Parts: sequence; C-alpha cells; structure tokens
Amino acid sequence: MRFIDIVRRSGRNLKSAKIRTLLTAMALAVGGFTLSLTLAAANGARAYTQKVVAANFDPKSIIVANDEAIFGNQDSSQPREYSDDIGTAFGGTFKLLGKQDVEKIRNLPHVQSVASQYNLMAQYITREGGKRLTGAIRVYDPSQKPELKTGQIGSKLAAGTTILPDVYLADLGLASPTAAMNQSVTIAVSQLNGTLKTYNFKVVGVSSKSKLDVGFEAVGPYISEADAAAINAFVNAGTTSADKVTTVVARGDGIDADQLKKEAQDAGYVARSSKDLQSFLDQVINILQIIILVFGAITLVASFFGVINTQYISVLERTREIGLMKALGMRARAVSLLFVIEAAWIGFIGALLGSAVAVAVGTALNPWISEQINFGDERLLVFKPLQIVAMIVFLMIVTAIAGVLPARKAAKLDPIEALRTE
Amino acid sequence: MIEVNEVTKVYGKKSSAFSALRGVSFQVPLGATVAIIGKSGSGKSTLMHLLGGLDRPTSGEISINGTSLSKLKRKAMDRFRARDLGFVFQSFFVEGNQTCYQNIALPLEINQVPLKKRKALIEQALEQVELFDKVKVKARNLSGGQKQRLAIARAIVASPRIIMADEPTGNLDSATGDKIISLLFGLHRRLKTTLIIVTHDEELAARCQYRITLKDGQVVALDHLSGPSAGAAAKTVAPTGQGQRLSATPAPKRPLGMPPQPSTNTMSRTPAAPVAKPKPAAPRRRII
Repeated sequence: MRFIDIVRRSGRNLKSAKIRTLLTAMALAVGGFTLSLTLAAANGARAYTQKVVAANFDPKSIIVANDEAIFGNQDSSQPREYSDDIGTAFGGTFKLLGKQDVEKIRNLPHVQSVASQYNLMAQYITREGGKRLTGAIRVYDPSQKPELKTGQIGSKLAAGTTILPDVYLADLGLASPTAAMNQSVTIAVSQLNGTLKTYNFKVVGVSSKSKLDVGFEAVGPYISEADAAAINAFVNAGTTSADKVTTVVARGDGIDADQLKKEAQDAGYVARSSKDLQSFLDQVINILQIIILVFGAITLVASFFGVINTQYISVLERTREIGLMKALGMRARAVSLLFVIEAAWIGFIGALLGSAVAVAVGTALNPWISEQINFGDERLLVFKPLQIVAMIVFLMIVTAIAGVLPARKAAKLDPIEALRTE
Repeated sequence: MIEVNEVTKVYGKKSSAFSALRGVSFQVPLGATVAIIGKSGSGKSTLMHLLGGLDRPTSGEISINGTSLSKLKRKAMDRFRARDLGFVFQSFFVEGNQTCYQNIALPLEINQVPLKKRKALIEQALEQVELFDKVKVKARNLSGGQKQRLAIARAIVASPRIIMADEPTGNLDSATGDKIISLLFGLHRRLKTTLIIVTHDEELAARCQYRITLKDGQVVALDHLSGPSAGAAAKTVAPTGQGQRLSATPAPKRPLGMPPQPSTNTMSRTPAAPVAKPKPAAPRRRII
C-alpha cells in the first residue's frame, strides 16, 4: 500500500469519528498552546534585550579594563595580590588603567577612538534657587550618545559644558528643556577627607531616558572627558587612583567586536563586547524558557496517554475493518502505519488548534501585556512561523509514537478472528 | 489446478484439541465453479480459510497452480491474497461510512495500482454489479443486496483469478440471493474466474461444476457436474485418497506478471491477447 493512500485513509477514519478526534486533539492543543506562547515569549524577551543592549552599548565598541573582577567575576572571599595599579571603583578595589595603558589601547591597530570612563559620584548637583540632588558623573561617549530632548552635540562635549537628564529639571527649578539651555549648574565633589570643590557647567543639552535604557549606570549629568579627568584628579588626590581610569570604551574602526576584543586581550587587558552582555542575558532567558517548556511537556505527557487510549478504542471499534484489510492482503506494516499516521493526524490537528489560539490570543493581548510590564513599544510575544511549524511537527512525532502501541495491536490482529460473525 | 492433499487442521492444544479437518484431499481445475457444501461445523469455513491463505493447515499441503501455499512466506501470502483472490462474505463487510468508490478502492490501494488507473477499474467493477449510479453513495445507505453487490465489485476490481464466497446469500432474502448468484455466475462466465462458494444451500451447490461435500472434517462426496449450470447430470466421484482423482482441463491462463488492467468496455479478456504490455522491470509475480 502506498504511503499517500495510507495517509488518506487514516485522515478519512478520523473524519468518521469527529468528536472523539477533536476531544483528544483538544488535550494536545493545551500543550501546543503552552509551547507556542513560551516560544513566543522567549522570542520577544530576546528581541527586547537585543534592543536594550543595542541602545545601551555600541556594537562597534568594547569596554576595556585591567581587571577581570571589574566585570563582576570577583571572589571577594579570597585576598588578591597587591599591585600598584590597584585603585578604588564601584566600592571595591581593582587594578585600574594608567595613562600608559590608555595610550596603549588607543594605539591598538583597529581602535579608532577611546573614551576614558571614571567611577565618579557627585556630592551634590545644584543650581541657584534649586534643590541639591545626588547623581553620578558620566563621561560623554560619542559612540553612545544619549537621546537628546534639546540641544545639538557633535562628537565631543566641550569642556565646561554638560548634558542634563530631564529628570533633574523640575527640582533644579527649570521649567522646560528649552528653558534649561545655557543655564549654569553646579556640581560639587568631595575628597575622602571631606574637602569640597564645586565646578560650574553650562547646560548645552537635555537628555531623556528611552524606554530601552534600563539604566546600567546611575543617572547623572554628562560632562567632557577632560573635565572628568580633572575631577578624578581632585577627588582621588594623593591616592593611587588619582591618575587612573576605571575602564576605557574603545571604538573600533568597524571590525568585528570580537576581533577588537581579542586585540585588547592580546595586549594584556580584559574586554567585554555587547555580544558578551547579550549572551549573558540570552542565557537567563533560555533558563526561564526551559522551565516553562518543561511544564508544557508535562501537559503533553497527559495527552500522550490520551492518544494511546483513543487509538486503542479506535482499533477495537474497527476490528472487523482491520480484519478485512488484512484478509484482502494488506501488509501488517501498512495496517500499523495506518494507525500511527492516524495518531500523527490527531497531533497535527491539536498542535494547529493550540498554536492558532495562541497566536490569536497573543496578538490580541500583546499591547496590553507590553503596557503591564513596561515594555514600551516592544512586544513580549513574537510568533515565528518556522518555530510554530517545528512545534507542530514535534507534536506530530510525539503522537505518532503514542500511536505505536495501538497500531501494533491492530497489526497483530488475526483476520479470521476479526471476521468471525456472531 | 487447485490441489488439496491430506490436509488436516487442529484447533487448540492437547486435551482441548479439536480437529476441524481430517485429511481432506481433492483437485479442481482453475476456472471452474466449485461448491463446498456441508452442515455447520463440517469444516467448510476452515477449508475456505486455508484455500484463501488466511490460515495454514496443521498438516498436508495445498497448492495452487503448482505453488505450495504452505511454502509461501507471510509477505508472499499477503500478496497472493491481494492479487489472486477476491473475497465475498456472508455479512458483506463493506465500510458503511465510506462511499462505494472508497470501498472498492481498497484492493487497488493494497495492490498499489496507480491513482490514474483506479477510476476506470472502479467504474468498470461497479458497472459489472450494476451499481454505477451509486459511486458517491455511502455504503451504509445501500440495501442488503446492494451491499453484497458492492462487496462483489470489491472482490473483482483487482481482477483476481479466484473468487471465494462464504455463504454469499446467507443474509439475503431468496429473490435478492438469486440475483447475487446469477451475478457471480455471470462474472465467472465473462471473466473466467474460478469461483469457490461455501454454502449449505443444495440448490446453489447444484449450479456449480464441482461439488465438494464435507462432513465432520472429511470429504464425503466429490461431484463433477458436466455443465456449468444447474440440472445437468451429476457424476459422483469417490473422494481422492481412495484412488480416483478429479481432473479437468486447466483454466485459461492470464500471462504471468500481468497487473490488473482496465479494458475498454468489458471485463472479459481473451487470454491469448494481452491487453497491455507487461512491465519489463520488476514484474509483478503472480502465483497463478
């Protein structure tokens, strides 16, 4: 018997037991629904983190440091060997980058520009007639420009100027972004012994926080690299950190970030690219996804037995038909295949039903979900047709396996017994 | 030639063993009409199952056209049933929720007849049993006689050499039963098909060329009636194994390796003139 004839016959058999088929398929549809939504949610989460990473990190740039521990891989229960490069940053002690190091990184073959980063906190930020506010001091990085509400800034921020985040405006007594332009703000910094020093900056731009900016860094005004160096020298005067840089953002000339990273590593530094961050986030998402998929798989186990049960009943019901087919010379293998494919059909119907409902419900609820979890314009549920097709095929395979046992019973049926009439 | 030699069939084991057939032997030529007659429990159904390759004898041998059925492997046996045999049962066994077309398509599907050729074959078979107008009707909507005609169409559609009918009129009233019998004999005349009818109806048995009477698992009489129709003078021959054997002229043969082919207007084929070229590659071997 040809495969196509078997497929057709099995489809016809299901049609003649519509309600039973549909009910069994419904159990599978629950699994298909769960799987579709899980896959879609993971797709959406991955797409979202990708956008977040892209918005916060320039894919052409890498972050270079002198200490692996600065990226968070520090075992603080163990003492580390002292070196003259050690300085303080982020509340810990790390090997920092000296002036020669920055020069060395700047001179790497594929590095186009570098921007030194300092870990600086303002004592307070204020303005005449405004409140005193806390904040980080951020170095303006031309490769990762903040979103501006007003103002025009080129590749460099001039010394003595600043970009103020819009969240500071109200408390500093500034009515609107345009009103803030060219106003002066004061940033006070303090040495360890409490000596304060104030710096005045002219506001040349007001930045806004995009929904994708998840705030890897604390909020605060952007200043030029030169000003940051001067503040760092004052704050850390007399310590080994005074002339040191926490990290350097090295922008490549367009070569792959991984290659750029390797260049920095070969020069003796540690580096991270946006890909590293992305893969870390993806890993977190994958783990969550696997956990939900396991729950989906448990519902599949239930429907697996449902399919076995349905197919057993189907075999019993059609004993005479099977006997006739065998009497007419149909091979046992073909009989078996007939029932296996019938089971696969049930899987197909169930998976199709489940994924169709998932797509319909997911698409309808997407805007609401995005609003609830503060996703901005991004969508949590992203359905990929190919993934759904693969899921359907997977469910068909699972149900086909469930159909094997009843199919074997059918194949073993003795035609004489089956055709015996009472 | 269908040769049955000292065939026994024992069901069950040891103390519960029951001998359904005890040394049955006979020979009938292919192309003949044969009645296997006997009361219920005489072993006639068992004999039909053995002849039809649905079961194997406990001992003895059945050979058809020189090929021993007991030597056939399962696959070859399945193929034998699919290509060389057509079955008609007392309770029809047509699939009620399938159309007539789908019911008749089953043997063609089993024989892997290409889709394109099926339609013509099915229509021809339906024409033979005068059910042409019911192609798309579901079998459950047919009357008893129509169902049996459908079953006959299914039995002949793949052009088997032997049709086995197990009490074909058992579930029908006598008028309808007569029609079915005329139909079977008509097909036999036109198609030169061997017709083996299992029955307890003496009248029906009398219309066959050969009559094998079974009692308690043994052949008690083997009659060769000269004419194919009823009423002809009967010549009773002693069952084989006691000296005399029945023999007759062998039936006309279809060329070996011929798949069933649709012919243009009638199913009857002149054996000498093949209707189509036999496939040179992978010939379909037939036992007969």
